[in-house]
Amino acid sequence: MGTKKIEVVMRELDLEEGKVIVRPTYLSICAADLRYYFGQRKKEVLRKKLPLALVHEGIGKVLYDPCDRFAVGENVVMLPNIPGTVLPYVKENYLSDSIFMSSSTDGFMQDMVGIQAEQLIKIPNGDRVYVLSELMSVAFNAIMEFENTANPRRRVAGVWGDGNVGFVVALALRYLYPSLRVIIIGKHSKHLQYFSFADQCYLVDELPESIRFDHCFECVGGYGSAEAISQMIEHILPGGSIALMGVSENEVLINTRKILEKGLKLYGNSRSSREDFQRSVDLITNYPEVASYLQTIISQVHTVRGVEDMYTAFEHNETGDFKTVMKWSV
Amino acid sequence: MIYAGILAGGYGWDQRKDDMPKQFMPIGSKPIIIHTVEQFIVNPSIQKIIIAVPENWVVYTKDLLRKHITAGDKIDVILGGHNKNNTLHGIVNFIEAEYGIEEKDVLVSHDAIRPFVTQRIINENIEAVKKYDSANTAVPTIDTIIKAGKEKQIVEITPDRIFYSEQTPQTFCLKKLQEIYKNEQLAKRHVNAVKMFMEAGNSVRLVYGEYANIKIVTQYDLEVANAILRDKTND
Repeated sequence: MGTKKIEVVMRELDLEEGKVIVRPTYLSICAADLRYYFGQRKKEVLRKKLPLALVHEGIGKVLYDPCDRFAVGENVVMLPNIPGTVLPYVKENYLSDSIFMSSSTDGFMQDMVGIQAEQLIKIPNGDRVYVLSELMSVAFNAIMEFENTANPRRRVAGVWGDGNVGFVVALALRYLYPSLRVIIIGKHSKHLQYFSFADQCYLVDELPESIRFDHCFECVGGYGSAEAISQMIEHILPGGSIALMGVSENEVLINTRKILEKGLKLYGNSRSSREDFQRSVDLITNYPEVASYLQTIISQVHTVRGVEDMYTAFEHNETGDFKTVMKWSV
Repeated sequence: MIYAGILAGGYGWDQRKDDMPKQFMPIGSKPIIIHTVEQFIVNPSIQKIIIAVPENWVVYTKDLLRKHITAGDKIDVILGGHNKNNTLHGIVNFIEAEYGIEEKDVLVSHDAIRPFVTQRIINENIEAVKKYDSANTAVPTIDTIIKAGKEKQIVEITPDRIFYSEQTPQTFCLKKLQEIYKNEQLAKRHVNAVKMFMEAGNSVRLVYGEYANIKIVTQYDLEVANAILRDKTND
């Protein structure tokens, strides 16, 4: 895939190295895919990385496993991260020699995906909701780090961002910390309607002056990052923590003076590990309400039989409130 | 017992199936469905309310009710069917299983996307069913009804004041409705429960509706609904 150009490439099937062959059933489009598709990354990045098979959120059925670890037809979630060096104190998703499918190598938009058994997690059925496991795992990655980093006050958490990431972070917080007040701060009242499980939702410019948070999660990214982070620093209690999760192409200005004054902790989160994936699969499986909430943010499902349908799915992504999912039928 | 069945199983015809169903969109300060349910909560004749919603929106609806309505024990939320009659059938089955159906029971069924139903309309529906088997809310059409042929030629211009636009509530003697649903062929053939009820040989009484009792289906309706609410609050 190049900028706004999708091409079909034939490759030899590689049955070497004990790889499992999976046929994708549902693939979900992420903002990162769109940035490649619409050419919104920096020129040198695009030149270096494209052409590339996009998409790193996917589930599928096992077609072939040379070592019989999976049954033919078994439903699996595919993990995009191919871990490199193993270090006990840094998670695999942060190491520079780890490979991320759809960024440093081809992603899941393939007729058949050859993948290591360690990159697959079994799921009880082929329900399309599991395609959101990757998104949910990113929330788990951040919340596990929050557990390690943040002071033990768990009264009020603020989640900035009413998009996909904000939704799953808020949802995971709701289920992992039942007594925590979860407050959403967003820009789109239509999106905020979906957060029925949150204790309170505010539009960015209507956040009451007096409101205070123990901890904050930034799920905004892009141009809104600076504004969101400065609002967090303003409203957070001393000693609080801010999880940074939104991707921004440009550098973001932040008020370090206030950070020093309040003794805040800011920490970065991106992607997720196998452990996070397993946790999100378990959450979806064990809590039907969580699955139900997640179904509501699958805003569009496109059946994709060929290149034309792929264009439709990518071009129309913006018209849905949340996720666009491709029912992969190539 | 007098039950209200709120039909919220649909998505609205101009909407992609994957978007947020219209009944959950806000007008004024709260979701449409909450405005609707409130009309039935405050009606002293209504003892139980059963809301049927689309797949995946059950927990969401329960959240909304928890946030906006305190008399939550009066309300059950169930899964809707693939059309209106089917959804109503589901409500009847639920009542049968949960509470049992007796001779005098009445079911007032109402579209979730008609939040401007009035107490007068609800009461007259209930009154009508005490005397007749069923009631259907309607208003006289304002525009003259024209019948056209296949080639778009006008076949007939009908006399004024004999045609009505159907609204809801549609209200039934619950026992009779339950009997009719046992005839699966008949139930399957109909999308409109009142039509089915008539075909089974029952009488239906017309209850005068209100022009404001609109069905919010399109974006335009949503704007009209907000305008209606603004006018109400400005009075």
